[in-house]
Amino acid sequence: MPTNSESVLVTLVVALPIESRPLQNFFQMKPLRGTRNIYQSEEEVRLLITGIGRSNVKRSLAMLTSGELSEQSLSAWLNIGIAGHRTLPVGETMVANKISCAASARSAFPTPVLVSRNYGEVITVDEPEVNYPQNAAYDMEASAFWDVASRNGILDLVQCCKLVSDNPHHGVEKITTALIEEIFNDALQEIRQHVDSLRELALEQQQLASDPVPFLEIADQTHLSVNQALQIRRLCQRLIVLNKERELENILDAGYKNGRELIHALREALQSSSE
Amino acid sequence: MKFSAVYIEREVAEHDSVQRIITQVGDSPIVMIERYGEVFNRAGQNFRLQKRAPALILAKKHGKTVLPAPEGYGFERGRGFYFSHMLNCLYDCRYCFLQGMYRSAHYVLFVNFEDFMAGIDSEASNHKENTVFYSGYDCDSLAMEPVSAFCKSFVPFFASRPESVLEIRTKSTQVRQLLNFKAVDNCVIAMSLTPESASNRWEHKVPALSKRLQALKKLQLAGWKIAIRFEPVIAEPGVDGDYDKLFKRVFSVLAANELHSVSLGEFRLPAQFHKTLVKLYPDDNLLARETVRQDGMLSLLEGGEVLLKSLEDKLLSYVDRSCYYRCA
Repeated sequence: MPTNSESVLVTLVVALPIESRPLQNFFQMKPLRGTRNIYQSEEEVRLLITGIGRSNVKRSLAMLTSGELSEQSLSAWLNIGIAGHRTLPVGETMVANKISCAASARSAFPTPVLVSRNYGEVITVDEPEVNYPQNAAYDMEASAFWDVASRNGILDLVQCCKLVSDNPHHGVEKITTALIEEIFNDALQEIRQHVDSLRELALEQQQLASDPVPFLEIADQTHLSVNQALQIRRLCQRLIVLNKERELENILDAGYKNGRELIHALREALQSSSE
Repeated sequence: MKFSAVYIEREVAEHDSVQRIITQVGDSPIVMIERYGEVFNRAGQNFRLQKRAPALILAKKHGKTVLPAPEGYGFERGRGFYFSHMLNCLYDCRYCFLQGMYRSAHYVLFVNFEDFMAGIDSEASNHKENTVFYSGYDCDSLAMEPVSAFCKSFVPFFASRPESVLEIRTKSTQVRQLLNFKAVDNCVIAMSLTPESASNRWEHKVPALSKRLQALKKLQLAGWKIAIRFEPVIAEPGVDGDYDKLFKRVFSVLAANELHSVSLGEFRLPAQFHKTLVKLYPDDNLLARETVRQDGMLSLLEGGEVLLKSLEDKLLSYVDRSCYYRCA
């Protein structure tokens, strides 16, 4: 079906500039004009650096989702960042299937759409966790990321992937900028796979939600009320799906200038003959 | 069986069924939850997207486990009830109302069969006349048998309650468990069938017609009561000929005079569900067609009484009218 299928954005959310650098290089991102913490690539991957902790994440994401950048297109969201883990080795990656906030004891469950070697719970804490009491990843941002991102788009496209930076054998005090860069560089191919998966899913939804091209032509030429626009959009969509594009073209050529008459003509075309 | 994840309500984690299922799900990630509503049917979830890789949710059904069946749902006269030990289906039929009912495509399996059984006993004891219990309203009852053990549990249960009837609605060929039992007189296996062309077009992941007929034949030969639900009838050019072929094929495999019942029913959806389906599948031919609305239900403009009457006449040349009903 020919439609006006726009591109989709995959927004990566990281806490630290040091986490962002390998991603910027890998996805060939450039800073977005007028921003200090947002980068974007030509292949529609966007990167937001939030700062450490829940409040920084909430503030940065709120600014991103409420500002002029919020209207661009459908977005999938991926929180990436370092985390401590009781059992996983340093450098290992884990996709979150549960995100819990230690402070509120609330949990959320990202839809399992990403393929990974490891899945597990991410527990967001306000201070670095050095005792790893549960077999989970400990970070400082995921739950806040979920709270905001899940209100902005399709819930199934909000995901979280953690890279293990510390564990009981390799404590937080051993985390260095060089280690973080190394961990991220090693995970870039997997992150690329996650980005591609999310993009594919988001694109399918975007295409379904896109306006059919004939409707855009009509909307460009005819003054329509909101209700008329909705009706005409769906009527165009139906004519295309039912292989009545020729009838649709004839109606467009007739140059109707009145929404009501146009709706009538489109309805007649739908009813005129069976498939 | 492999799922994208297996969610387990903490309350049923130690349930025998859950312990058994855990051994069957391979390396599917297991996630503990408090209530299935935490992952199922959340605002912002997308049925179509989730259908690509559904998860299994093992939960406990709270509240009423057995509900009155809609008027005209089945063949049997008298009181009818349905129970849903599962929500959602392994298959992906484009006409299915479940897509309009839930935002989530994950499979919810309620493992507390004992509570369903208590509910069934309670309703049966409230009514003197025979009571029919339908399974397969919100799921396919047989498709997940290796995991759910539904037949393994409920067939013996009904075998010991001859005053009640169990009707199992399905499109599945998972009949091995049934064939392991001696046929149970008050248990009916009701297979939904559409013409092969319609099945290929709308019934994604459903076993081939030939395989379903073979499964039914095995059941019939083993003495099981078989019913055929020719539903939903989807009106389109050539549909008469398609049903000619379907009836001929079905009744060349199955003994028509031994069937429990047959039915015809048109493609119909509550208007609100249709609206939801259009949002999910705006690119789907079936949902783009002209519809008529009556009493809050939408059906295809091309369908209607004339078509159903014509198909009815054809069907009644194979089966006795006494075992036929039209699904309301």
